[in-house]
Amino acid sequence: MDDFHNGLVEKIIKELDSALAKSPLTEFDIVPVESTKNKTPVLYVNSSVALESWCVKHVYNYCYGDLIEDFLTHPKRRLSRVSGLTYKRIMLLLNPTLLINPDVTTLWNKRRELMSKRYLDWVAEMTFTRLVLSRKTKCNDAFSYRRFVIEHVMRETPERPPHFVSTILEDEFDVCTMTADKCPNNYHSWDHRRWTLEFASKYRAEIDSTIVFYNEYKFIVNWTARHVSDYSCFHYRQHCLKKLNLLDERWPVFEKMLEADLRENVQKFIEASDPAQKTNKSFKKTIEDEDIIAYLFDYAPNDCSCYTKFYETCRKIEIYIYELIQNTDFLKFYKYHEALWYHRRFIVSEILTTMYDFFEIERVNGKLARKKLTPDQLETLQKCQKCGNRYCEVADKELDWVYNCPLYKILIQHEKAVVADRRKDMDRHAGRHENYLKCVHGLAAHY
Amino acid sequence: MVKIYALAVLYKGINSATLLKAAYNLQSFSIFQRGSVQEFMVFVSKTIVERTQQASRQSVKEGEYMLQVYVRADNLAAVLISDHEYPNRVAHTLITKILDDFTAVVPATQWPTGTEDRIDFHVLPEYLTKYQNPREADALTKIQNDLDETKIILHDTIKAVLERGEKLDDVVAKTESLSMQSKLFYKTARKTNSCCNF
Repeated sequence: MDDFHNGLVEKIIKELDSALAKSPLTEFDIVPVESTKNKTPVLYVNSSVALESWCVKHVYNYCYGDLIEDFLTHPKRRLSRVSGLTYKRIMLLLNPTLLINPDVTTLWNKRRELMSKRYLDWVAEMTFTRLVLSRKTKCNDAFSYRRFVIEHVMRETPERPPHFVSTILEDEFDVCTMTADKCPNNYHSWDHRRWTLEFASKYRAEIDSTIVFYNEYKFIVNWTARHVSDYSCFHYRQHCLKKLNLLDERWPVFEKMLEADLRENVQKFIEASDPAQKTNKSFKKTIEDEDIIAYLFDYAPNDCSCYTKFYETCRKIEIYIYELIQNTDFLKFYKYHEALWYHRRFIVSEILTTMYDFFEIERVNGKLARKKLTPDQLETLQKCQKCGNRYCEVADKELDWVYNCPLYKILIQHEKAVVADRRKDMDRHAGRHENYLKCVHGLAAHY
Repeated sequence: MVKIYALAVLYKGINSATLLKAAYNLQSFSIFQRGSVQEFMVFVSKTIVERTQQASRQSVKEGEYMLQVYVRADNLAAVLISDHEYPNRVAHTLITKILDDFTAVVPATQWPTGTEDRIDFHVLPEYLTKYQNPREADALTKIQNDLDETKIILHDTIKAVLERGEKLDDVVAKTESLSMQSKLFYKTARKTNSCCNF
């Protein structure tokens, strides 16, 4: 490249640098423009920055070339090392290069080096990666750099002000929502959101993680309702489901958030699947969990002291049936979306697992078997006479006996009805779902 | 995503179609591209109305976008641009309803000569927001049954709608309704195959 171009590029990157210093910036883009009129190619509108496309080639070649030549090929040379003298120059070259092409891990690693030597301000780094992600919404390097920065900051600031963690969480969720909205099936974005959720549970001492999980579940329920063919977000939904704190005393608050009466849902589900099974009692809030369990599992555990287990099983059944009903509804409304069917597989499999768990059995290599309990678990079981009895009772019977409980019958009834209904609509996934139940869950004999 | 990008009412003249009213939802595009995207949506709406016969409905799939078009026997037409998850049936019910509303508000004499500024019909932005959720529109479906009378013709790509031998690239190059900026934008998008209708 000749001197004229070099001078031009120097001017452009300095201008871009001063534009990047303005805050708050939210978006970066490259605008297709052909002419090279004598005016600046750096555009700045409403907190968004853009480069005109004609200069991109020159800027990128120049910056990338210089970076590699001066700072990356001879790491031992004194001038190539990151120091107070060189870091400004490195940043000046790094920013445009990464904005234009963020999929170069080497460059991100250089940034990591600068970060760990404390030359960079982490808030500015977060803003910068957000800019990168506003254009390249699927850039995994940018997401992973964000994670690096957050972990770095958490290490560096052992004494954190009160809202420190929650601000980070909000920011991360916000970036994920933005990237997921711009680009469907954005796996990296959902993966990052999942990481954020794990981050929230790691620092649960500093935030109210239960409420965070409740909020996230609520968020993803609304989101999946509008992205019915995006399996990445369904996967996140499954993750949220497992994170829900079922034992928290604020469960009623959660139900209110969902605007659903989960208990009533279960009752409706039972009645709709099989009118003959109509419960003579109504599952109002006043009814104890034990009675519901007694009905669904055909097992009356009166005066049992292991309340937690019933409580947990009951909440699980309630939430999964809520999921199941919603899924059926979507299948009928949106039709033919594979992602919905796959989510259904997950729900059904969770309900079955809950059922097996309750009876202390598990499926190993396609066969039902008694759960192998550790001595400790066995001891706790035997402490409660009723539970101990149940464990023994199950052991005495044929294991297939679990397929006779009302919950199972109702579930299968419901699945059959949905599959038949979808078949009428020429949905080829319906048959596959049936095969899945029969073969993968080994239900063929009890279908 | 279940999303509507644009709603437009057009009039199919003898040689060309004119835009009478439109509303857009371009939040997901970058601020620098919105102008071009909007211009493009108008251009595509016109092109497709010109190539749709009277009293017929079409659904055209192009990349991640769906174009729903309905031209009535009296030459009034509506276009809805959504993504592929938005249910076709609901979309067509919605544009039928829009045309009915439009007929009730704007007299037929204004249609052939009307322009966007002169037509007095302001509910499109409201519809655009309200029916982002197709379930809202589903309530309409239950009332309206005339949808079944005309069959919806489905196309997998816009090529099927263009006349034989006609290429979209040529149509874009020839048209005067797109600015230089938008044509360039179209070319780039075509190359990288993203963020554009085609």
